[in-house]
Amino acid sequence: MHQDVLRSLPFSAVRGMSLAKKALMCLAVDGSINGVLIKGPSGTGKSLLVRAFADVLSGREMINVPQNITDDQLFGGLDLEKAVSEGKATVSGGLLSRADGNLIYVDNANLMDGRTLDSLMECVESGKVIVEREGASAEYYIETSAIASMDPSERDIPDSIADRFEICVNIIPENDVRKRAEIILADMDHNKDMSAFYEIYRESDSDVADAIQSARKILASVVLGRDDVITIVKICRELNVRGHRGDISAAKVSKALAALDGRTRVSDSDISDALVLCLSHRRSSKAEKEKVNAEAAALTEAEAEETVLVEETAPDVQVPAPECSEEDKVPEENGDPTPSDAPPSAASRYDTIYEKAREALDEIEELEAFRLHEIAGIRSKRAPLSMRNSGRYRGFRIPRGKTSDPAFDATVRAAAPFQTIRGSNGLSIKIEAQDIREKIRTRRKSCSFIFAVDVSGSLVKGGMMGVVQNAIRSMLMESYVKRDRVALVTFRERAAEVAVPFTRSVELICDTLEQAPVGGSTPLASAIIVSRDYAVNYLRKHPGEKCYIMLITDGCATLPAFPCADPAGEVKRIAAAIKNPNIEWTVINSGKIYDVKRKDDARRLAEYLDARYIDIKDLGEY
Amino acid sequence: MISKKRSFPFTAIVDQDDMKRALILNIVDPGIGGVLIRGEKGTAKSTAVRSLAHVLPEIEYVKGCRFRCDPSHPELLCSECMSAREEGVRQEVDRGQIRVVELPLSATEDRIAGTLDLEHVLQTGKKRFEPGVLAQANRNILYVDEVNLLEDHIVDLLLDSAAMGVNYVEREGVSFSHPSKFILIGSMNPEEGELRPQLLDRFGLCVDIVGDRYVSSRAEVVMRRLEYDSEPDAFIEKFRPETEALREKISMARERVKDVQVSQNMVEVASNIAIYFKMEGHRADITLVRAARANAAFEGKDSIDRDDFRTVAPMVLTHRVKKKPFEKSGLDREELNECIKTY
Repeated sequence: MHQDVLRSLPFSAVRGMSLAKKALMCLAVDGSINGVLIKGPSGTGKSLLVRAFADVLSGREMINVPQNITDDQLFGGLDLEKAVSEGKATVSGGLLSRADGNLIYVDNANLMDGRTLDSLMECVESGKVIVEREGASAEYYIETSAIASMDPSERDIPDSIADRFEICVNIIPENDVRKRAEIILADMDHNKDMSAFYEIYRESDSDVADAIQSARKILASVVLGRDDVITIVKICRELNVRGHRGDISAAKVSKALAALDGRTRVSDSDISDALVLCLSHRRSSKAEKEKVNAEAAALTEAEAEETVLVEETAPDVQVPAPECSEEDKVPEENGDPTPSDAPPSAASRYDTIYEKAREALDEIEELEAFRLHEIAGIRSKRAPLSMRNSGRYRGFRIPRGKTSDPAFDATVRAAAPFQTIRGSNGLSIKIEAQDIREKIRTRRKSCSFIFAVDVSGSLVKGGMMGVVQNAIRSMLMESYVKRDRVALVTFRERAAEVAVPFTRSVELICDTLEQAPVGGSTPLASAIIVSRDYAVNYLRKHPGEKCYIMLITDGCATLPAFPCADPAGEVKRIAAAIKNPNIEWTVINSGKIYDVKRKDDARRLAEYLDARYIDIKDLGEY
Repeated sequence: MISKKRSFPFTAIVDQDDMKRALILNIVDPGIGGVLIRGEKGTAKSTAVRSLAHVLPEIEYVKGCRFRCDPSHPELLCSECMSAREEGVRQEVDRGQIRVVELPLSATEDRIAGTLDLEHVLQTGKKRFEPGVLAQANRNILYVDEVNLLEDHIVDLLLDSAAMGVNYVEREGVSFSHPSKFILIGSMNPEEGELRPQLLDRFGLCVDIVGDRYVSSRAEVVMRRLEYDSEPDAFIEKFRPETEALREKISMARERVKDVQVSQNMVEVASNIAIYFKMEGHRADITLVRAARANAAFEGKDSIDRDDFRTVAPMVLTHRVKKKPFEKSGLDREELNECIKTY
């Protein structure tokens, strides 16, 4: 019934992507490497490469995991046919049981249900699958590794899941005319005569397969010296890598790289390549990094000195090995660095590796454009249960009363074990009321943003309107990507109004904003009330969602909402009175930078509202 | 879901040359990757797609196969045809027209991907896979009207199949995969919301259409429609010679498309255009060359030239160019023409 991943191109015919190729080969060499995650824009050949990789696996297969797979199909569930014929509840292993000894591939991993992907990686990591379903339970062991690919432009996968992949490769778009032309030509050749095309690459593909096979044989004898491990650990710390997974992965991968090259000694470039492969998804984000840096500046300095000291006396002193059992044996058993092998200066060697890895990692980081979601501080959350009969079928439950959305497969499975004792009325399976199960469906969570934009005179005079419009447009481009709902509130003169109700049309928001009348006083308090009321109303209709209000203003209130109030004091009182756990505020200061008198108005406003505060000129940094 | 009923003749559609050309190029070379048609309501988007039935060529397939497997490509056979072949069963070949399979917006995941055949389970106690729309769409045209209103998880399904040409089903107790290679045609009204970028890039070509502004052609549209509605068969008959000619022309182009010469120079023009317009993935360049080649074949030329790029480049780039703030449409036609000329 099943066929493995469809092969489309010979592996060595895939142009470029050398880092991704190395990563996949490492995975094939070292079975203890759990996963490779490949990120890249649409159309850069991610899935093409992975599917081509199936060709050089010599005997092992690549099992495709569709992103809409149901849990019992993936992990295992009741064996339906057996239950019906024998009346016994036995578990038939799911797709994962087929994965034993093979590799699994998840395309568009970011679109998969986060919880499922997490448990999948847990199984890959622990090598154990536990099934507890419908009165049947089972446990089986698998040895497999996972390859996942995704286009992060739509949404990213949570850091905690990404961390489970030893290796993460970011595909960098090709900008060389010749190389791009080569890709077009290769595609045409392949299209013209598939078998002739395969023939051309047969030899180089079998070379790759051989390289993997012989690397598997020598992997155990590859030496990773103690000083190499220290170098890796130090660089990981220098690059703000949290946890130990990064260190361990880099150590494993550098060994695999050496083995692929036919060496039993790890070289400096193995280490720097391994660091690039293992750390890009493990560095903490910019904002966090600064915080950590500030806090730990003094500490790091002190520690650095200490490490240097340790290193100088290293030959005789027992250096605490990194907390990883796999690596323990390496320095102890094989760590016998002869002086001639050692590079001239440990410090300069460290610097070279560090610089090389950091440069590559910085380049990767630059690729990541600023993201509205990061600005608003949104972390992805579990998808809420969907109430209507739409959304992705994720699991099933026993319905309360009648259901309009039965889960047929689960129902049949529930009925199956009783078939031998129930009399059938000509049917093969008899279903009774207590067997009925209904579907649990999840819908992707989309966010709702309200942009409350100050279009009063002070902004016009300061010439900031253009900047504001630009900033909103860029943020909206991001929200359009994520399919969020956006509404626009504008405020000036006497009133704040909902200029555009919630919509998914970016154009509509931009056009309205461009055509909005500007100038006049600033009714800041009214704006806060109007945005908040609109949000509350929306939340009432859409329980379980969250609203994010982006208040774009210079923070200088000049017109009170209630006659005779002091505008600034009024804002403070109102802000304090309207706290709502499902509404989050972000204040973006659109005031002129040099306007010292008003400089702190917006910041203060953010404090009153418990909001994140961002200066509009800093938006580019997110 | 298969449109077998009669429809408005393709050749009777007034103007909308870009749209018609984009559709034709895809039939000439299905590898181009489909068309997205964006436009207001009532601009003959769906009419054009449904009317394709008149000009679609015939293909060969394995007789009786649920997925209409291609007998000349043994590596792409479905598992059923594959095992039949291995058992040495002689497979007969049938011929039939490429079909337009429609994907209704309200379709559920299981109807699209296929699911457990419930009836079969209840009657026999054995599992069986019941194919869905993606199975019907294999080697045919899959048409999604209002594709921007499709639910996200359905779009995800399409993404997977469109990328791999295989539909993998792992649900409701069935584990099955079958070939699902189709020409994806979508139409949408952009006022009702945008399309997800990941799906956007999957469409090889995109055309933006607007209603005719000229009184004379608008009047012609009305006249033809009235004529068709009152006597459809006579109307279809009236356009038959034109339709037949076009169908013949498309069939010819399909046969010759792989022999059209593509020089290194022209390939580099394509990659330069892609780099100039900051295309990240390679779909744009590859589609540029393939569409240009199909265009040359359709026009009866032996090799592609810059004119072919002038025709197809706007269709390839329109939906892929990243919009900068304060720009209405991403693609600057003048820049594009300059680009084609200089490289």
